[in-house]
Amino acid sequence: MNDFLAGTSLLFGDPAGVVLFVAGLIGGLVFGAIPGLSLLTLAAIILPFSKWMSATHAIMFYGVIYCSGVYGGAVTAILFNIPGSVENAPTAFDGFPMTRKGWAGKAIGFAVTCSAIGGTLSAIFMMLATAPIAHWAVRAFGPIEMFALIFFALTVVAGVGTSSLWKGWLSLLLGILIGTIGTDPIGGVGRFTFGNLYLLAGISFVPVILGFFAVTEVFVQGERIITGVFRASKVAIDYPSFAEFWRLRIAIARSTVIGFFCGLLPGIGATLAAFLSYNEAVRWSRHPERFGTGEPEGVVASETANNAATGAAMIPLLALGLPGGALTAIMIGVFNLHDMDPGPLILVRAHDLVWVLFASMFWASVAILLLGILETKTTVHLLRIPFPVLAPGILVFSTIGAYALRNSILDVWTMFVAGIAGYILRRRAYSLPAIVMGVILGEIGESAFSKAMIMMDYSFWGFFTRPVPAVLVILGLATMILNVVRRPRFQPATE
Amino acid sequence: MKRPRGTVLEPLVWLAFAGTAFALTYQFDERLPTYRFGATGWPRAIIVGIALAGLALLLASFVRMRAGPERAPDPPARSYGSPAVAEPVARSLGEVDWKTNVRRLVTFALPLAYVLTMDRVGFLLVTPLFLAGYMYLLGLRRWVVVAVVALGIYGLVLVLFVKLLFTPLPLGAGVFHTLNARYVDLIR
Repeated sequence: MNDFLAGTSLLFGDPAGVVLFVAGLIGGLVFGAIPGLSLLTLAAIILPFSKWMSATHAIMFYGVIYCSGVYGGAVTAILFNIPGSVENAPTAFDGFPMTRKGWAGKAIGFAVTCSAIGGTLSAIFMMLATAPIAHWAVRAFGPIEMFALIFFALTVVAGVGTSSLWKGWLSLLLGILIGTIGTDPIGGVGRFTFGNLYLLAGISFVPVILGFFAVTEVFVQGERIITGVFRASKVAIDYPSFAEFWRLRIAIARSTVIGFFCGLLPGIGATLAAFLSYNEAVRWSRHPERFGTGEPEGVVASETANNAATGAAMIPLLALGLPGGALTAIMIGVFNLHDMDPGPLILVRAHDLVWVLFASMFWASVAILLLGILETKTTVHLLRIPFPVLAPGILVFSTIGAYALRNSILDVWTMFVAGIAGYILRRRAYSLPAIVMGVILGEIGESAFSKAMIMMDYSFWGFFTRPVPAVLVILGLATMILNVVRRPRFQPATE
Repeated sequence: MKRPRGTVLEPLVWLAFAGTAFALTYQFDERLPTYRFGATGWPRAIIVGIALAGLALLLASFVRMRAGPERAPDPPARSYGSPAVAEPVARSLGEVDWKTNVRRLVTFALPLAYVLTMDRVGFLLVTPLFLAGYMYLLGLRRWVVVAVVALGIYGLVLVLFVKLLFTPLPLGAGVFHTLNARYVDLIR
């Protein structure tokens, strides 16, 4: 408690710190809420400037934009069906149908409140449990466990977001195959590169996300306008009542726990949290058929979990030096710019920095609730902007977002090619989030699989000789079988 | 009801894709001294998975076709982005006139032309034209509104990304590179 109070006083006792805290909060919310931009765009653009900040300020700033940006990405997912980042993709499953029904205010209200609850609880857990959990994670999670977990995650993702199981699997496997483009993780051999140096570095997932989510949505809506079937969403700013939240208390609690524990896992934290939490919400619901049609519990499950993962993601970052996702990977770059290496000693060597970060993430989550309620009343009015005005803006912002990460025009090409491919696949009812998850999880999965195989002397039975991977593999197989046996989870489409 | 030919064609496309991808793996079929499965082990396993899922899809299509009209039609597959609440789908090619189909094609072609031109002429010079052109394409016909909105978005991009955040943007090639670099200096 003393450390937290000291961190808070260091944060708010310094005018420059307060300015950066507010800037990070607003920056994350704004960049998250502009279709085509995301917190990653902001993080990448700000990276060179962080050199001129103190190490404490720079890390604190990134912690704040992480919290506010993850929430901000939900706004575009709900209003425009364009998730700000892949961890917001399950939010769109029910958030966008809610907007179509004229419940945009309620959907954003659920998202902001649950983001704040998930983020705040996660920050508290983070402060209490960083050291013991880090020690447990170091011992319990090696490549074998990591691959088993990814296998389980893949089986979950294949069954979420599409009513045709085989199309879900095809989407996921296509994503994993895209993830193999570039050098292989063991021997450095180029695969599917066709002699192109750009492809040797692999396909960056940011242009893929922008292409599949933002560009595809513009193409789909643009086509509806041209063929005369476009229908604008209704603007509504009703905020959910306390009774509506109370009805979802168990879903919120369950999603917080799922989010926090998933957030601990390097590489896949918040994204896995959102998908797994959504899947569990469907599994535990008395009315699973309502999911995908504008069920508030879908928004609650996804947004609580992905924000609950933000605090937990700091634990492997700080304690082990392992990034939990794209933003925490950029944070490692910030540490390096200040000649610091995150790892077990950071808690001792940079005690103040760590507690300022913890305090800032806690207060950012609290502030999201206050700012988010105000934002709910304003961002919903984005729906009033005619789509022909919004569409080219989305494409231009997406272009900037894709280009700014690596200063490569080929990333912009990748984005537009992914946009056209996404349009075709979406018309044939394939799952775009599953493809993106395949790209992300496939790369980590292959690396973990190859290390696990070497460790187990190429015996697949090795997965069943340890308790954690055995449980995860069995859960994954059970999920696959259940998905085949059970009828589709979603209501038939009316289109 | 679904068109049987289209339903069968789709899994066949997947099988052809899997076959092509598998053939391509021979381009990097190298043995690795430290890893028994080599560079191709993982991609080939994934490709086999795609082929199996494609076969399952094909089988499901045949089962649906054999059931014929007596069986209640399966619910249309739905994925993220096509919500179950009534959302109109764009009409298919045959249902609209040729002018609409050309406009539809330009919806995809214009952004590609934008990237191609941006690479040569530079982001700053091409973007206002693209903004105005795409708005016009999507049905905004009042030129004053188109111009004001395009310049508004363009101004926001200049202030936020060029002046405040110093974001690198494509500057084009040759004389356009020089021109754009001077333009950026002027704004900053």
